[in-house]
Amino acid sequence: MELRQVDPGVWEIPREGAMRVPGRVFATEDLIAAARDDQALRQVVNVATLPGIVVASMAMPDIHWGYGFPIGGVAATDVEAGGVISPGGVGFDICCGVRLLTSALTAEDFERHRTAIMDQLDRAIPRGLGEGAIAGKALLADVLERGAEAALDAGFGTPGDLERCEERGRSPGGDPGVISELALRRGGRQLGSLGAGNHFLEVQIVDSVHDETAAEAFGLAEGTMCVMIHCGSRGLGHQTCTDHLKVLGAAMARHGIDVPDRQLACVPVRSPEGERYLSAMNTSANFAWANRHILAHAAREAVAKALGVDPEATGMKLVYDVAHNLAKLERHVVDGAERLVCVHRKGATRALPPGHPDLPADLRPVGQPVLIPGSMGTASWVLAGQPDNPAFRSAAHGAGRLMSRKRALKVSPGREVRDELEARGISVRPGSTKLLSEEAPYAYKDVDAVVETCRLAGLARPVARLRPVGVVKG
Amino acid sequence: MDGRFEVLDHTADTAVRVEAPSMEGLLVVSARAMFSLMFDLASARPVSSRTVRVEAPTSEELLVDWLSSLLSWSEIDRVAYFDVAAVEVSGTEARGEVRGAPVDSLAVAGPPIKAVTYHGLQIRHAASGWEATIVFDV
Repeated sequence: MELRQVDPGVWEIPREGAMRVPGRVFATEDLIAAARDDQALRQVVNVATLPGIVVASMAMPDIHWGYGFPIGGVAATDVEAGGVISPGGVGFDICCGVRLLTSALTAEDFERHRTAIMDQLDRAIPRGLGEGAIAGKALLADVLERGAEAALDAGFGTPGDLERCEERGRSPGGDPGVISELALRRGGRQLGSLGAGNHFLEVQIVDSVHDETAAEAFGLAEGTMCVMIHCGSRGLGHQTCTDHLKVLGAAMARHGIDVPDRQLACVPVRSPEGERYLSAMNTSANFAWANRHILAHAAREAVAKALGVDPEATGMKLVYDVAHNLAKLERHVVDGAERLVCVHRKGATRALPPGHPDLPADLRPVGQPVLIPGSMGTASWVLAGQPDNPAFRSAAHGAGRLMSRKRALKVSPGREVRDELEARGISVRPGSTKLLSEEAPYAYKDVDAVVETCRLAGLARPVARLRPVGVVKG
Repeated sequence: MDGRFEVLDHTADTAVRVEAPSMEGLLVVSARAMFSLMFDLASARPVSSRTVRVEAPTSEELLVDWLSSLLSWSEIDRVAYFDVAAVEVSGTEARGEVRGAPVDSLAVAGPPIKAVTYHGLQIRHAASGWEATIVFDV
């Protein structure tokens, strides 16, 4: 496979064979070298064969080997020209994403109450395989229809939260009737739970500010205590993706579609199977928006309890909530004309530029907050969307894995990882100590390099760097 | 049932290579492999059971659907169905009785598996009978 650098931080895989468009990877030399080590670039090529794909099969700086799509993959298909939708371009964890809360608390406040805050969060956040979720099953149908809005009406969160949420926390066309019985049963008991794997809740301190105006609009100042939550649609989303992969896999032949990897199963967006998947995906996304909303509510209450104050006194407010596993129908200019495209972001964050009408008035002058969590124990970043983003208004979503879980387990046991983090001033409340090593900092790429590439390639601009001081893991 | 599995390197997720003398054997060994990625099964004793039936046009899809079904029921019942007491493959259908232990009674061995993927899945003839590599989303 030929790979050539076309601009600083931009690499291209020229069209060949069944590719309908070239591949385009946004990466530094070090990051592209890491991607060459596994099958991620082959996956960029495979995605380039999807019917209706326009411009390029793209990958963000945190690209790594996934299943079907690479993690970090962005692909847009022309909806009115037979363009397809692929559940593999969304992933099993539909609408997995990140939510960041700022606060009126400082690093000093956290230090004074460190143990109490971490212990209260430990108690308040259901996670891992354990039974239990914050919200009852009674809320499920309303949440599937209305997302975070339903959770807000049920008493979770604060007014103003929805404005600071991609899609206002509600994906279009939510309909509990399109979700399978199995998916409802799997996810019904999980509303308001974190899950496990790379999902987390972190307490962070704003370490440095790189864009004063945007940081002020986001409510971030140096020394501010923040809470970041990373999770998705839990078993309900996993089952929905499983259900539709089977249906779409069987329907491909009818639509005359052949894909190089069965995990890329797809059908035209404008087909009965495509419309049904889109509807089920959006309904599952509503679970995810509400899930993060409910967890954020629990985190706010936990911090307040630790401090012995009213939740309002913590000043904890939503900076933004973004999805990084979703397909959305958006209007973009392609070859000089505006077209309706289905933008798949599989491990990529939407990044609206300043002035975009979908942004709330107070964020419109600076652009959408783009949340890029680092690995456990390393920095996370807040960026802002830029004009003329070359990737269908997308940016990276994390540090990106470097090392397999199997290899990470061999480097050091979970107990050592925990002790090292504690020694560096990061309190750890693991669901399972053993699993910590799989998510250890050494298993991930350097998040600072990912952020620098975003800046270099015009994907988003850095606003603030956050350092972790406490982590709650599944 | 004879058969074996090994865990392979995969950057983001987890993969296993499974070998068995027959298609039925692949279903048995892959079920054990999948749950052993999540739980320590060394001293696990099956106490509850469930009947599972799946239908798919190809052997590869039958294998994925079988494991997906076990995973779904495992999360709903909160039972790790690692022990396949009986299984029969007939054409495009697999039917089996699976047994397992409550997940809360088992020590965690790895992160929960979200789903079974079709990524790169191919069932091949091997010296020992049948071989498949399965990638799990974790």
